Amino acid sequence: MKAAIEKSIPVNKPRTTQKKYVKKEAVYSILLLISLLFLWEFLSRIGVFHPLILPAPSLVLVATFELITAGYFYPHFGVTLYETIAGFFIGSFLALILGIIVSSNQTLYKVLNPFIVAFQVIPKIALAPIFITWFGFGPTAKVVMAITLCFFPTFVNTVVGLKSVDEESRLLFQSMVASKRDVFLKLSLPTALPFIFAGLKSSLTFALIGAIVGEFVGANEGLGMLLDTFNFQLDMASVYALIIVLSIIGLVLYLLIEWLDRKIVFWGDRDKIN
Amino acid sequence: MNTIVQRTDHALGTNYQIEIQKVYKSFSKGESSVNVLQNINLSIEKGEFISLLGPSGCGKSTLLKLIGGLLDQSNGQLMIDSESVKGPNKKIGFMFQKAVLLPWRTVEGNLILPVEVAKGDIHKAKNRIGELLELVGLKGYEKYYPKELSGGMQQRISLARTLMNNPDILLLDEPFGALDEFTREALNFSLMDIAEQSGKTVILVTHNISEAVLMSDRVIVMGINPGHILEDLKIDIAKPKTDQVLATKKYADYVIHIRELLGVGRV
Repeated sequence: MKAAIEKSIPVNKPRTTQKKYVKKEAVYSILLLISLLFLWEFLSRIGVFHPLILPAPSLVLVATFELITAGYFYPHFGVTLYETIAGFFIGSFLALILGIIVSSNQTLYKVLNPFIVAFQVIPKIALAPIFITWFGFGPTAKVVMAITLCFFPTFVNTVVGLKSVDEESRLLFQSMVASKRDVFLKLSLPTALPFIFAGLKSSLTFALIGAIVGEFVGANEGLGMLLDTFNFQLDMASVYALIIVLSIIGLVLYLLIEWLDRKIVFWGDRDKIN
Repeated sequence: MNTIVQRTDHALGTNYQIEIQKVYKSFSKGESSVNVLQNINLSIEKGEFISLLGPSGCGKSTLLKLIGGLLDQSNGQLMIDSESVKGPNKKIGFMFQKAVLLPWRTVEGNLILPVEVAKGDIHKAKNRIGELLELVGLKGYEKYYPKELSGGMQQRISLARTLMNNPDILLLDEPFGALDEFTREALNFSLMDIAEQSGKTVILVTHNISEAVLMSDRVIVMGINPGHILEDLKIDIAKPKTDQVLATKKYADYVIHIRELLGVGRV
């Protein structure tokens, strides 16, 4: 009598049909990309695009290869990577801690909220010259820029995530006479994790932007400075090559977090947040 | 009135496990306040199976939360084992309409949660998990995650979790309300067996008349505007109650009496 009815229900069927669709769509995406590249190459060769405006994909490819085999490239690469990662770690760590502190107390939240909103609406890129003045032309100013830019996505998502605990779960913990610490560690934090990871992914992109913008404003090393230099020399193929390199940095770091997200937040809920 | 229907009048004695005297509850809504419960008097003996029955808005869930210490009454007195209720109590196991299982924990992890939170003996508790899973008919499901279970199975796990710390009193807030008819009936019988065997006091909130009559020793029929007790009805049907009960005149009389009381259907 007991569970006979329910036990016959299949458990978490593998999503084969959905996977097939994803594969099919991926093939279409790649085909579209190749077609567009060919069109671009063709239009460049017959002279529709001036090489200064839009160099042909083949030229960009050659420039990319030359760039990544050049000895001078790697120190710049290292500096930008360092600025991005340091900024990301410091910024998102601060965001996480502050998000938790602000969420822990309703009064604190209300008192701090105007400041947070005020800081949030500042176009933070405008702060870059100030940071150069404060910290000089070295990497520190760029790290600070990256921190400033990547703080908010993680901060906001931490606050929202911690608030997203549903009423019945709260009542359950309350009825079990749970300590505040237990409620936080065993309920609120795990509930917030999918939100926090979504925030971290945005923060990472912002950290990279912060580092590059910082280098634009004033630097003697880094990929942003290199890009500025190529642009000044009208070496457009190399500019595009750098954009590709920067995108790959962003993508690899993003995939790392995505992987970590799937490892840690294995129970899902991700889809409704992203 | 039907002859089998008797009012139970309780003298306030010390042998009651739960005593509720002149309890009022109102919620403030801006400037004004809404009365949700008015003059609730109720005494419950150890081991009784009680249903709080009434339409939406009769305050039955609120009353349950008051007993469980999840809310404070506006007025009156609430005692459990002769002690005033001043907050959640470890003698009580609460079960909700949703299973509220933690999706990042396995069945085993979810069952161990109340023990962890109460700083109990985790090692001892691990042995208990097997027994409880067997009791709710889900033996061998320790390593499953909630999302791998159907709604009915999740609610069984929730019931097992409620029993984990071996509470004296079970407070059940429409625990099977979101499930389909067949699953709900199966779980109702499981619950009756568990209550019968363990001798625990059970208070069940429901809006299902036949369910209340079938399962309970006493049905507390509640009315609305504001929530109050219409009748404290003793159900005099011999245990163990089986499907056969449903075919008896006695059962039908109780159901019809409550329907009349609540003004349900065509009179």
